[in-house]
Amino acid sequence: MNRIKTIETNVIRKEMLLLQKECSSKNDAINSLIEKAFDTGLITRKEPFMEVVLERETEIPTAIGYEIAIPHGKSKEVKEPFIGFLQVRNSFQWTEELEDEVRLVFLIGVSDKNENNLHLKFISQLSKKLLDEDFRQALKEVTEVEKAFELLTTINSTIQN
Amino acid sequence: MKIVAVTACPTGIAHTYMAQEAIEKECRARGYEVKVETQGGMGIENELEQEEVDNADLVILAVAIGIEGEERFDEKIDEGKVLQIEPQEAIKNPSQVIDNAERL
Repeated sequence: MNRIKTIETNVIRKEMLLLQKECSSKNDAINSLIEKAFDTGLITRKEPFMEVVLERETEIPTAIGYEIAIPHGKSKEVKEPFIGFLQVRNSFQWTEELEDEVRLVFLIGVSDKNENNLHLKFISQLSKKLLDEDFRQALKEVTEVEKAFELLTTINSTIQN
Repeated sequence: MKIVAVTACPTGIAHTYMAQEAIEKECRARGYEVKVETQGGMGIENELEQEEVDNADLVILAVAIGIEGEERFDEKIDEGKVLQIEPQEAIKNPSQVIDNAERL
């Protein structure tokens, strides 16, 4: 149990939780999170990681409904796997073509090397939990980093496989 | 009703598993038997045996990439019992996806 706890707190870092931000575009959102990831020392360079993430967006935009987008990239620039969270005050349209309005953005970064499965497991479990309406609502309403951290690191037994 | 599904996406980090969860949730809510194989960053999990595929009423392939072991579904495809969709469709509109599958 302790081991899992460590994984959660490694992947989710308080520095990477951005709450009540103003944001009006996909690039703006991704950029804010990448800046933070760089400042926090999670990625080695910003531009190449941004490219990977945006390339993934052109394949298929990562707005998944429910006012959530999960841009992500697998890249050698990623030093440690992470999930960054950006909660914006007013929802905005993720792409011109897609009508999806987005308020919660999760930027996921993993390295292109063989990733530790426990990290991937945690990321997949958190992704699954986003389908839980109460969880999403709590994330939309949260105003304190401490509380957001607690929400994102508390993966309860209901989503275990 | 027995439904089996495979989910897979290009990076295999998030969509694969969200699509799995969405399909499982919707099927459970309807009281259906369901098993979803994932082909993602953690490899193949919850792998479907040929027998499980054969015994299923419907197959949903929520995949955005080529998958391993596609031949397991050949017979079901011939029977017209396979719904092929993008993973995000399953995430966004699980109930519509299951409705569509049931119309096969």
